[in-house]
Amino acid sequence: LAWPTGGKAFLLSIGLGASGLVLALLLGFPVGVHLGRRGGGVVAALALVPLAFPPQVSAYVWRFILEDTARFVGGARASWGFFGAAWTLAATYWPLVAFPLAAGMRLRGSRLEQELATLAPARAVFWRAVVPGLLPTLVAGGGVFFLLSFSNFAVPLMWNLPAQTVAVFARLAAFYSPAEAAMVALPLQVTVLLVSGAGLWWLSRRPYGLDLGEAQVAERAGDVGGFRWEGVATVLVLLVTGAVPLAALVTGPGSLTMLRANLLAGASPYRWGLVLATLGATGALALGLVLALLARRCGRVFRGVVEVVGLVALFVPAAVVSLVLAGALEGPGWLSPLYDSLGVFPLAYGLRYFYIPYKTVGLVLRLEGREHGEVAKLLGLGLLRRLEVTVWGVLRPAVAVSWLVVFTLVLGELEIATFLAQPGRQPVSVYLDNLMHYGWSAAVTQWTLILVAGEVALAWATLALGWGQWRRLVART
Amino acid sequence: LAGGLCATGCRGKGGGAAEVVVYTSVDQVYAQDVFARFTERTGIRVSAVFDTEAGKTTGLYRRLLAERSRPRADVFWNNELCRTIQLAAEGLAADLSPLVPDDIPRRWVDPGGRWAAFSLRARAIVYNTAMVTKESAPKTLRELTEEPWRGKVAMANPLFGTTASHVAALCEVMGDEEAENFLRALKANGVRLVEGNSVVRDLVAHGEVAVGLTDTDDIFSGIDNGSPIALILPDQEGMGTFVIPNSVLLVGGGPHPSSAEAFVRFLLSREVEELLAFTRARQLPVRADVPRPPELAAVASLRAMDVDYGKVAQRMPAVARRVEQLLFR
Repeated sequence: LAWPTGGKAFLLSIGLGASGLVLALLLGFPVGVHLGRRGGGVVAALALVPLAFPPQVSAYVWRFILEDTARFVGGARASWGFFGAAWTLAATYWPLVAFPLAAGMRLRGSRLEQELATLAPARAVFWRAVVPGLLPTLVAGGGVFFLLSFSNFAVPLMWNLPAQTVAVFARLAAFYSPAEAAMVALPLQVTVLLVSGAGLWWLSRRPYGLDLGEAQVAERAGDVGGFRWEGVATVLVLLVTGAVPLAALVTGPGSLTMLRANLLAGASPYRWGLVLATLGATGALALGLVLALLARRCGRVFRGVVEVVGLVALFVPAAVVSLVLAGALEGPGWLSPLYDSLGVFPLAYGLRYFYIPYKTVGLVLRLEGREHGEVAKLLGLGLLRRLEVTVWGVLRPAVAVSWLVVFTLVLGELEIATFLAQPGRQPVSVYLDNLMHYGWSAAVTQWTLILVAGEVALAWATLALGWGQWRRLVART
Repeated sequence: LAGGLCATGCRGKGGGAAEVVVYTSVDQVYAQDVFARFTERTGIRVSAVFDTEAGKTTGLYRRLLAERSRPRADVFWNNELCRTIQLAAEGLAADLSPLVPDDIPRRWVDPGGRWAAFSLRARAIVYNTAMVTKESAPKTLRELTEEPWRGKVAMANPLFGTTASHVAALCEVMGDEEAENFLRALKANGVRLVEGNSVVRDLVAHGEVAVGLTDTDDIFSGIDNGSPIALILPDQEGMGTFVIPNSVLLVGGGPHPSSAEAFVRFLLSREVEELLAFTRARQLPVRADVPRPPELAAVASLRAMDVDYGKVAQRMPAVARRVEQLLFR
């Protein structure tokens, strides 16, 4: 056992995030290209399966698969440690890389491929013209992946890695000192925060060059026929990261027995898990949306402040965020009712995750030219109608996707839930974590299966709603 | 949105007489049965806040301190005693002495009435029965530092949980110098430190180490799962085995005082001790005449370490610092 000291823990977290990112790019790239070229609701829905696993369950399943398979093959229990954690993060979060890439490919890459088809071989066009153009979406998706992996608590914990988030909890558990916990690796963290901020600032100055006209072309170009390499790779990725863990769960002990009993026993955690995730995602979306709209009108200073606060909120271990919030709300008496109400969850998760909708919506707002609003005005449309056919119509897919991503993250979140969940309102993430203490049980497998199925269905419906609106908008344009 | 939810009444449940708010670090699978039985008996609903296994009481301890000016909890039911004593020392406890039954040994009741304890676990040596015979298994903690067990012993991180309390208790009983020598010798003998007591049990069960130091509830659940392990209660001829009782604290100024009193009475009853004795954790009743499963008969006559838990609780922060220096730096 390595006692997580500040510097080592921080470097380990950086290493985990970076290694996971490399693996996630390998997994997400072919799927993103496939989705961008061909679309496909079934593939998109299947690609959501890994993301629907709560991280602690995902780590649990992969630990079982990797360690016990190795023991079976090699006769000894292998310790996968660092690789296992990096792989778990990649196998769970790779859709965060794939979906932005698919969006970029759909809007820009397919059109380029079509336009340059007669000038150069398809492979050269793809690697030399299309991929460089997709760099901003790769950096955006990869950046979100890295931040979420860096700040993940459950995965390194399950793999016994003294990463930074674990170090924070370890110090709280050993010394019960929030100040000491918060100080773990803080200087290095600030350094990386500044570097990340500079990188994102640079990225924000890159021209995306997308507009609805191109999107219209991309819609037509999306129907590319024929066999492509990414199709095979996509099937492999979906099998390895979706089907394999699902199969491990289905074949787990008692997964198909006592379903009704466990369903009743876990009904309350499930209900509160869904309530917390819905409130958290809505809070984050509301905050992100308002800030993105304000950022459109305000200057660089405002945008810079929002960037820094958003990154800090994602970057700082959630245990610290929770303690600070609890302390702040418990201080003055007039804020105390908020701490006791469900209102604390949109606030806590909103602060934690608003950066995701802020960036997603902000990107779309940048793409939406003001000329559409001018045209609508000339046509004599009222304010609400103008907003509906211009801003809201364009924003709806981004709103749907970012809400869904935050919903998924909150459903599996452990730290804020531990510190802020109210009496009798234990969410499913904490419930599952406590169940897993007793090993591979029927309740764990059943609850995870139900969770994954329910979440994929919800995700598919949300994406279909958002994407359908996008299609209608394109057709109308 | 947050303000709206707050204003429209989506508040935490409170105010009603038929509810009690319990913060508990006890494993959920065991606590749930106790809550269900209590509700069945009294009609009072239990709204619980559970800690996570990863949190090791951390979350609840901090919450109770953060909420001290406006307590939300009525009762804190802890799976060990030292942190409860620390919370009591922080002034969070109300007097529960009128609620404590007479048949609970006085050793397990705070003279000041701030806490009471019941149902014990013990710190035991677990060994792999395929690798070690009962005769050759270590019978004392000191034997774990000897040559035959070099590189064959596992123990949970002594900065957390029951292992932290155990080490602080050793410092109290053996004296700081001797306890530190013991830890140094363990380290020199290649003890494998892992992140939790259940991991110690699993390592022994898988044969990766021959013996380990862990809690009896982890060992019994492993035996139930068919693992080839057995337990030894260490130092029965010497300083005795360190035992870990459940403990309960009545939170001063909690929102449902009458329900809280009913719950504390129930928790300290013979019925709950019997219930916990027959769970997979096999917690040993502190009352000698409470029914128990046959496998607890062997540990019923254990010689418990004679230690002042109040002093152990006081020592814990300083001992944690010292352990960090000795084992991790």
